[in-house]
Amino acid sequence: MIGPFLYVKIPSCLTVVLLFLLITSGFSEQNKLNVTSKSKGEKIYKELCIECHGDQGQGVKDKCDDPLYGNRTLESLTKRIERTMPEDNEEACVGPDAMAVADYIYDAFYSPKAHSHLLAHIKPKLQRLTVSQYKRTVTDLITSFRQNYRNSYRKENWVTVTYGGRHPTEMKDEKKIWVKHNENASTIEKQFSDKSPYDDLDRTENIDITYQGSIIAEKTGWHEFFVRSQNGFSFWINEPHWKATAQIDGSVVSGKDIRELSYRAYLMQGWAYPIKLKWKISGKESQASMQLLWKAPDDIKELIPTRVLNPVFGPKVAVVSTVFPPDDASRGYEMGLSISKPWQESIVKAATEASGLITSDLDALASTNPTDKERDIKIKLFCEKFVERALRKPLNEELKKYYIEDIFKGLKDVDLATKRVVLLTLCSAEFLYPEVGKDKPNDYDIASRLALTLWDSLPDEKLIEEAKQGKLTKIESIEKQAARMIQDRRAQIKLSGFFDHWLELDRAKKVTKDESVFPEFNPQLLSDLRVSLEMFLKHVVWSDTSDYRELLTADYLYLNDRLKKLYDGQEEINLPSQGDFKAVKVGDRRSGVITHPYLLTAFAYHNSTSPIHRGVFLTRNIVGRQLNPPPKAISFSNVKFEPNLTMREKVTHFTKDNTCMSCHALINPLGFSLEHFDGIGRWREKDKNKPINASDDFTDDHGSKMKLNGAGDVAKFAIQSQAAQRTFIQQLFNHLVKQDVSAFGLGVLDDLEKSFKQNNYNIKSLMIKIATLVAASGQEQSFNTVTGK
Amino acid sequence: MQYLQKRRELLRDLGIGLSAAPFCMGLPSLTGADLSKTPKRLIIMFSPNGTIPDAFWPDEAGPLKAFKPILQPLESMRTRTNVLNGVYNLVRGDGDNHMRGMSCLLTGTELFPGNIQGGSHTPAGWAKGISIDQEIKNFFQSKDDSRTRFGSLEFGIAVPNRADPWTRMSYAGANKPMVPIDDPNQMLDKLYGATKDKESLLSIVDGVRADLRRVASRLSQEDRHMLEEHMSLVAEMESDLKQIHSHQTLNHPVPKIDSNIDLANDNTPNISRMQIDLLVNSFANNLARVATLQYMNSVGQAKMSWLDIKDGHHSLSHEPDDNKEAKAKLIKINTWFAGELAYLAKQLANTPEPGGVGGNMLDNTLIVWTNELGKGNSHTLDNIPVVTMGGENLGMKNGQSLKFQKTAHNKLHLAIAKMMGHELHSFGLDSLCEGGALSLI
Repeated sequence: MIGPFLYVKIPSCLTVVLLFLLITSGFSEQNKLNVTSKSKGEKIYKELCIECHGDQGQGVKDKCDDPLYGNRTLESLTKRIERTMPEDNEEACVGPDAMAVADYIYDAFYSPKAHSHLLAHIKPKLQRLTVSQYKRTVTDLITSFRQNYRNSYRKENWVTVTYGGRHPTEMKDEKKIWVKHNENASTIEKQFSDKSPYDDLDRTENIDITYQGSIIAEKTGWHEFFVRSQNGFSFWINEPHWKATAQIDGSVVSGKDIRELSYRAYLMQGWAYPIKLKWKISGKESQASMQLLWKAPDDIKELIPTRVLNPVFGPKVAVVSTVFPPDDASRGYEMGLSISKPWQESIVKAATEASGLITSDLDALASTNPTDKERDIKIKLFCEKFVERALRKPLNEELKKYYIEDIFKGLKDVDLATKRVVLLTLCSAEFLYPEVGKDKPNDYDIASRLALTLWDSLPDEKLIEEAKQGKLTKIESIEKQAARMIQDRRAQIKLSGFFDHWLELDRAKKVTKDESVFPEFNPQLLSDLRVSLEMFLKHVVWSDTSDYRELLTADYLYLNDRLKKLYDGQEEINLPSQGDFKAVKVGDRRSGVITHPYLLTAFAYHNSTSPIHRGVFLTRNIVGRQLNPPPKAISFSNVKFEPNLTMREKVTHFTKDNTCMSCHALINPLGFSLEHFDGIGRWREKDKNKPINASDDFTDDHGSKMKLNGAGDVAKFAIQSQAAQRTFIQQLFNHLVKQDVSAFGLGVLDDLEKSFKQNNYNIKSLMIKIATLVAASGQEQSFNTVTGK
Repeated sequence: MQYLQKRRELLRDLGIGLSAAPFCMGLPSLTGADLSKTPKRLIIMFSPNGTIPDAFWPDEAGPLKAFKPILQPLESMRTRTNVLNGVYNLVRGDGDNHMRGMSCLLTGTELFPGNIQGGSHTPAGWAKGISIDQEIKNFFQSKDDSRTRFGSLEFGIAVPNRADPWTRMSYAGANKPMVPIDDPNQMLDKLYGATKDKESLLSIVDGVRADLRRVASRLSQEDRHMLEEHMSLVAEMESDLKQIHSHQTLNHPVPKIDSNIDLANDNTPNISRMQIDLLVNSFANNLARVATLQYMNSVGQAKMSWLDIKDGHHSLSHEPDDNKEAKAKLIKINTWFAGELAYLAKQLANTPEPGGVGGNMLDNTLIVWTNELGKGNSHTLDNIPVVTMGGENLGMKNGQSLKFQKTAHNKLHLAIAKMMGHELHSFGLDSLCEGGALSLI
C-alpha cells in the first residue's frame, strides 16, 4: 500500500485526491481500530478472564461468585482492571489491553444498560423433582387422605402406658375385679420380678401393659426396631388400626431367656409413626422385663431416645422406600437436572410401590367400605382428588378425560383402575416437572413453588384455597402464606437439609479415630455429638430471633451427662436420665458451629487435629471466600515430620511454598485459630508439650489486615463480613430453590443481603423472603416460554 | 351346594404370553434353574386330630391289595401309593401331645418351655430346630441346578389367624416358625403379583408418552432436551415390557382364582382346590420344589358343613370308640382329606414333566400325607398315619403296605432327605436317629 512516506512527485490534484484518500483511510483505520479493539477485547477476555468470570460475566463457582456488572465509568473500570486483574498476575493486562477488555465487557454485560438486556435472557434451569422432593410429595399426597393427617404433633416427649390386671382381693360377680392404670412413659424400658408395679394389681395373675404413641424419625432410611423381653409381646409400627396384624409377634414365650425380635421399617425424616407395644406378663412368670430399642440409619443400636417420642397416635404414613440413584450434586446442592435409565426405572418402581400402598388400603383412603353401595363412585372421586392434588391444580375437562375417564371406562374393576390412575399420574410429566411450560405463573404455580421451596412437597389445603380465590398474585399474600408455612414442621425438615450442606455433615458420618490417641471416642459419642449439634441448630433457627450471628457466636453447648464428662461444663446439670440434653453455658472458649465438637471431630485426622481441613471449611463456608484446588496435590502425612513438632509447626512448614501460600495465607490462620481444640473437639492448652498458639495475622477480602486470636475473633470477623453473609445467603438459596441466585436476576443477591441486614440477620425472615421472591418471579415478564424474548 | 353357587370365576387376565425371562425394572425373575435336568420335589400334607385306625390301616404288610374306607379315594392310584405303619413320634419334653404332634412332627426335636398351655403337660414355646421341609429347601437352594425363586411355599387351608405351636409345623430354625398362606389370592399375588404390575404399566405407557409430548411442546428448544431424553427412556421401557410379554409361554398356565372368594369355612373345598392348583402350578413353573400343604391346625375344630357335619372336628375326635355316629363322621372327614390328596396326586400325574425329560410330574415328586396324632381320643403319638405317593424317580418303590417296629419318625425324615439327594446322618434329636434312615424298599 502506498504510504505517506513514499517520496514521489505527484501532480497537485492528485495530491488532493491522495490526501483525501489518506484521511478517509485514516478514519476507517480508526474505525477498524474500534472494531479491532472490541474483538481484541473479547479475545483478551476469553484468554484471561473467562475462566473466573464466565462467558457472560455471571461468575464461576469457587472462582468468582459475583457477577461482573456495576456503576463504574469506563475509565474507572479500565483503571481497576489494570491495577488488580487478572488476580495474581496483574501485569498481564495493562495499557491498551486493559482498555480493550474494559471496553468489551462494558458493552457486553457490565454497564447498567447491558446488564438489564442480559437479565431478559437469564432464567432458572428446567428441573424435574429431586429425589427428596419426589418422596416427600408422594408421602404427603397419599397420607393427606387419612383422617388425622392434619393433626399437629405435640410438644411433649412421651407415650402413654396402660396397666391392666386383676385386683388381689376385691371381687365382683365371683371374679377378681379388673383394675386399670394410666401413665406417661418417657422411655420404653421396665423391669420387675415378684413385686407388682401397682399394689392393686395381682402379680399372681396376668398383667397386660400397653405402650402407645409415636416415634418421630430423625433421619430418612431403614430403621430397625428391637423388642427384648422374656415375656409375651406384640409390636405394631405405622399400623394404627386396631385390627392390624402386628409387625412383631412375640406372643409365644419360648425358653426362659430374654428373646429379641426385630423388624425393619423405612421411615422418612420428620414424620411421626404410630407405635403400639403390648406386653403380657403371666402370673407364672417370675421375671418381667421389656425394652424397646432401635437402630437408625448410620447410627448405634440404643433404647429409643426420649426426644423422639410423642403422644400422638396416627395416621398411618405412606412411605415409598424405593431406592433412587442420587441427584446431581456437583454444584454443592441437589438438582434435578438430568435423566438416566436407572432414574426412570426407579420412578416406575416407586410408582408401582405407591400404587400398592394405595390399593391395599383403598377403602380407608376413599372413606368407603366393601359393602358400600356407592363404593365405585367414591373410589372414582378419590382418584379425581388424587390427581388434582398430585398435579397441584384443578382438573380441567381435558386432564380429567386423560387421567381418569380413559382409564375407568375400559375397566369394571375400580381397584385396578385406581392402580392405573396412580401409575399414570406418578409417571407423568405434569407431575414430575412442576415448572414446565408456564407462560406466566398463575396462582397454582405460585402455590406449587412456595410448597417446593419451603417444604419440598405439595401445597396444603390452605394454600390451594388461597390459589382458588386468586389471592396469590399479590406479593403481600404470598409473603403471608410463606410466613405461615415456615411454622410447619416440613419447613424444619427442609432446613435441616441445608445444614447438611453448609456444615458438610456427611463427613462426620464416616469418622473413625485412633483408639490409642482418643480412647473416649466411640459410636455413642459420635451419636451424642450429632444430637448436640442438631439441637443447637434447631434451637437457634426456630427461636424468635432466629439470628444467623448466634450460629457463629453462641457460648453454650447442648450436653448430656456423657458429653459433660468430656467437654466444658461450668454448671451442674441434673438431668432426668442419662441420655437427656440441656443447653449449658461454656464460656467464651466456644463460639457456635465454629467450635462445635461434632464438626471439630469431623474436620480432623484420626489421630490429631487438621488445621488445613478446618481452615478450608471455615474459609469456604463460614468466611465465604473462594478457594481454588491446590496446584500440587500432596497429601499431608504426619509421619514425615519431626515427632516433637506441633501441628501448627508442621502445617506451616508444609505449606510455606509460594504457590501454596496464595491460598494458605488465608486458610492457615483460620485453621490455627482452632488449634486449642483437639481431634475430638476438647479444649487443650498444649500440643506436644508446647503451649498452643492460636493467633495469627489475617487479611480480609478488602485487603485490611487484622489479628485473629482464636475462634472468637474468627466469629466476630465472619458476622460482619459481607462475603461471609453472601455465602450463607447463596447456599441457603441454593438449597431451598435448587437454582443459582443469578438465575433470578443479577441484583437479587444484593437485595437479599440488604434485607438480611435490615432484619437483624433473621434466618426465618430470609427464608420467607427467598420463597416469596421465587414464587412471584416471572409475573412481570415471560418465564420459560417458547417464544421468549 | 353353597360353594358351587358362590363359585363366580373372575378371570384374572394374566395372559398366557408370560415369559421365563428376567423382568426389567428390578421386578424379580419368575423362574430359577430350568427343568431340563430331572428335578426332585417334596410335598408334605397335614391333616389334624388323628385317624380311625381300623378304617385306615391295611391289615397286613406286603403289596397293597385293597384300601380301607378312608383311603378309597386313592384306589385308582394304588400302584403309586405306600402306607407306612409303625412310625412313632417319640419326642417328649414340654407341651401337650397336640402341640408336640404339630410342632415336633416335621422338626423331630423338642419344644422350648414357654407360655402356651395346652390341655395337659407343661406350657411350651416354639420348636428348638429346623423342620425337614426347610432343611431340604435350604439344600436345594444351595445348588445352582435346583435353586428356584422361592425354594419352598407354605400353603394353608382354613388356618386360624394365630401364631402358636398348634398352628405352625414348618420352621426355618429354632424359634423361627414359617407362616402358611391360606388365602389363594395372597398366594397368587406372591407368585405372580409382579406380572400384574407389568400389565398395568404397559397399559399406561401410551398415556405417559402423550403427556410428555404435550408438556414438551410448551417448552423452548433448549429446555426440551431433558424431556426428549425422558421420552426415549419411556419408549425403551415399553419395548422391554413388550419383549418380555412376547417370550415363550409359561410351562403351566396360571390357574383361575376367584378374586372375591370369601375365606369362610363353607368355601373350604373350593379354596382347597385353588391352593392345590396353585401348588402344582408353582412346581410346574419351577417357582419352588418344596411345599407344605397344611389343612387347618392341630386341635382343628373345623365344622365341615360340606360333608353335612355340624360338629367340630376336634370334639368329634374325642368321642369314645363306641360312638358309632361320631366314628362314621370322622371316617367321612378323613376320607375327604384323602380325596384332596387324590386330587393333588392326579394333577401331578396328569401333568407331563416340563422341561422335556419325559414322564409326569408325580414321577419326580414325593408326596407325604401325615397327621399330628395316631388317634384323636387317646392323643397317642404312636402309629402316626403316613401315606406316601409318587416319587418313583426318586427311588420310591410304590404299592406297598409297610410295617415298622416302633420307629422314630426322625428316621422317616432321614429317608426323605436321602431320596432328595441330601445325606443326613441325624435330624432333630440325635438320640432318635439311631440306625439311620428308614428303609423304604
